[in-house]
Amino acid sequence: MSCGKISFKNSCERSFTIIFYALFLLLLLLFLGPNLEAEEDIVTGWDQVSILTDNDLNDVLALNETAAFAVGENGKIYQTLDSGGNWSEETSGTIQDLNAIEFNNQAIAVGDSGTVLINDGVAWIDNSINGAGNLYDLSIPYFDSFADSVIFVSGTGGEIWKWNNSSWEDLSNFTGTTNDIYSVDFVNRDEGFAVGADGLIIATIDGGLSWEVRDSPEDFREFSFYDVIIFGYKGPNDDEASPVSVIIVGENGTVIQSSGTGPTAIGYIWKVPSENSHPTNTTSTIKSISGSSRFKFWIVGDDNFVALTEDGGNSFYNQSQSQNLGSDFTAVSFWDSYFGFAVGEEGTVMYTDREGQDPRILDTAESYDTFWEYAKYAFPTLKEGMYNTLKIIVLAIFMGFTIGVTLAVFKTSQFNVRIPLSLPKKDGTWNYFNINPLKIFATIYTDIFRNTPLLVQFFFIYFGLVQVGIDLTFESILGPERALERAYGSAVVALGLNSGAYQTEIIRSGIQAIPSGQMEAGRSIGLTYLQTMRYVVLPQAIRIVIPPLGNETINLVLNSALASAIGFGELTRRGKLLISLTFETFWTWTLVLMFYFVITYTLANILKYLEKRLKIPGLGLGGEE
Amino acid sequence: MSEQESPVIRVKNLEKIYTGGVHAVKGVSFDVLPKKVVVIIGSSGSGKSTVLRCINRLIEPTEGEIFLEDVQINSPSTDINEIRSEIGMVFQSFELFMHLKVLDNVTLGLTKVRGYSKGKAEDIAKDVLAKVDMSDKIDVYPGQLSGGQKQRVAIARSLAMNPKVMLFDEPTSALDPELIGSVLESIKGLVADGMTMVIVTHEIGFAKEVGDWIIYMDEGQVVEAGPPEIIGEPKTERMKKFLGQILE
Repeated sequence: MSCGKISFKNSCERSFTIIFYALFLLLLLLFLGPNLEAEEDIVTGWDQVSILTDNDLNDVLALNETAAFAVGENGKIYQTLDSGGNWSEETSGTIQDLNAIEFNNQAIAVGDSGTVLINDGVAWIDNSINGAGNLYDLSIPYFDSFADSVIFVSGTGGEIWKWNNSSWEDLSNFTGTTNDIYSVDFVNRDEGFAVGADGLIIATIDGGLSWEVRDSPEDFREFSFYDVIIFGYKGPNDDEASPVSVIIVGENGTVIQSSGTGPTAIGYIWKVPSENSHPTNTTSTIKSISGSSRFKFWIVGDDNFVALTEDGGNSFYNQSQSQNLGSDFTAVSFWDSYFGFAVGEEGTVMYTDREGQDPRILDTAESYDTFWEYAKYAFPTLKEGMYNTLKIIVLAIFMGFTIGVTLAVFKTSQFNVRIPLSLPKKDGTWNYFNINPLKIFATIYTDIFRNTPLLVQFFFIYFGLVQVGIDLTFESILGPERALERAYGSAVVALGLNSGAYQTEIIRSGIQAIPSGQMEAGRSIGLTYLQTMRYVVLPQAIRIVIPPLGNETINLVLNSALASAIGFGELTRRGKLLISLTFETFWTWTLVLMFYFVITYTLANILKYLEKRLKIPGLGLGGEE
Repeated sequence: MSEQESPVIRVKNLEKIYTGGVHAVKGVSFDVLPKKVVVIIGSSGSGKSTVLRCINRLIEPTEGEIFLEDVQINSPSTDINEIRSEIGMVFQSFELFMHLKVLDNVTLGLTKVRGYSKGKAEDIAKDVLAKVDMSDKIDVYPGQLSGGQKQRVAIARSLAMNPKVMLFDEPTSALDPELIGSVLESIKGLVADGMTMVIVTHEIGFAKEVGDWIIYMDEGQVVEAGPPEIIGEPKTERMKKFLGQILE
């Protein structure tokens, strides 16, 4: 198999040339092949309509299909009238954190330190409760005017206050608890539920004058509950609704639903998920619930959790958006079962006019029972990610190699330029010093790229350069149709430039290992410096450094994972995406690791083969005669 | 030295001072006439290799002039690559291109410098390799050859370029005594074909046999110079001492 055999001489060279051209064609195909859409432009079920603020938003209230209020930290109240396209800030008159907002003829918001604000259509009027602690939620079963209304608010330490036409009544002593009460909901003036920390569920049927504990189902007594909603039924002759079902959400992905049968009041009989499956498929805390009926509702919570159920909680559609990875959602509010707002930390807001459902993917967040089932599901996405990774690394390797050879030749060159210093000496000769501008350029380049973190180089090239007008889509060369996705162009350039620096040093060491006699011999037969480099020195030098070059290429493959940080849909980013859709962290990362291993192992074997094929017979240790 | 033939190589007042102050060559002058063999002998450090390497400008002379026929080699305006293709050089350490087969070693200069087609280059190469008796090894790699074989290929490589003069820098110093013979035979063959040469060597017997003009150098200067007979009759003490040591 060695190239030393007589008959192999031409075919060895030929096969090497063939390999080279095949790789080059592959490159061209990848480069010019159909480009993936940028990850940011995928049409999803929700639109990002965030408010530009660092304040966390604590609650949202949908007023109709397109209008909503959002309240948050530091007394912020925002209103939109165009589905979140524009938000205007209201004068709240307070800097206390506002925790909840409700509407019944008028909008009322409550917050820390007893803050209660009522909107009379023009401004927010302060009607705060003296002596109250932090208020977390409110419910307005009846409101005609402020002087003719029933309002319940709940807060820290088991507090409940009731507004009954004229004054705030403190019902805290009747709740029988000092747990924080995070949520309260009244279906009519008399019947209501309150839930809170450490599994608290209490209910009243007499307008809050007495409260009874409702035991939560057995496995759910430790978890804090953050929101409660009572779905009621209003008959044609009824003034007010009667309760039909209560749903409570909280820590550990809990969603529990209760209904009464016959004369039993609700809250005694609970429908819980069956033992082996957890329909929300998450252990993140669920903070808020909103919906049109006990069969169709949305829940949102920590860790970018957003989900919809249409079968009363037996199964959920996961509606998390990859853009919000790492955000916690605090509240959701739907109007008319199609139009909804969801808010979260640091001004995050999403809006949907289509139930939050992605028109393309209707993926049920099933729990996968075995690794292989999950692997089958995940495989297409990860395979696409792997192709994207290959797209980057092939170009980056070639770019790095070209830069490496060029700069290594620069660094070992003798291209001296004499610069005269100041004035000539007395005897007419000049003081000068020699510099080699090629060497200086190459040295500066390698120093910069080897002494700064690759991740920061990625950020600089992707986020920084665009600010000064360089956007690496190569639109001017390729035209608007073929222009590269910006993240792709940036990733290739960043990896290529960085790898070029390391390859320069590697190839330079190879060149310096070649005895100077080789250059002398080449020059002696009349070859120029560059010709000798090309035909005599480099062919030998590169053969020597194939092992460290292989190392560097493998490093490059692994470093390509950093392209995920700038939004390019390569393998690692696909992994993250899958996790945000299915929450299967362990299995996903296992699969991603396996994919990377396959890529690098193949590469390592290619290099091993190359080394064997290119070995100079008779030269070096381990060579055969 | 007759006036009618102009020298192929003229060395005039050559001086070389290395950076660091070593004054290796202190004013050397000689001429090399066509078809003649000039042999430079001397102990290590005498500057003889430096002189040789100045001729094809592998070392830049500090002072003095060197001419190839009527072109001054060490002038900045000369195209040194062209000059070098007219001067062949054979190194002590052979310096074959290890990644190329024997045939390719010889054809590289022909195709890249002279611009011949591959076919023509190979024909010339095969001829030249036959002359040094290496025809059966043309598809072998240098790493698989013995020292003497390597040196013969090196001679062929330079010879193929059809140079006006060939320089030999201690061609047999790195070889075992048994292998020296074949190399010397090849060189004698070139002499018989009328090649102009400058040889730096330790082989005094060989020098006497092929040399037309012997130069003895010591400490950077020419001590004695003359036809091969001067080896039998050294005039200076230094040369006597040198020859005495060699013949031991």
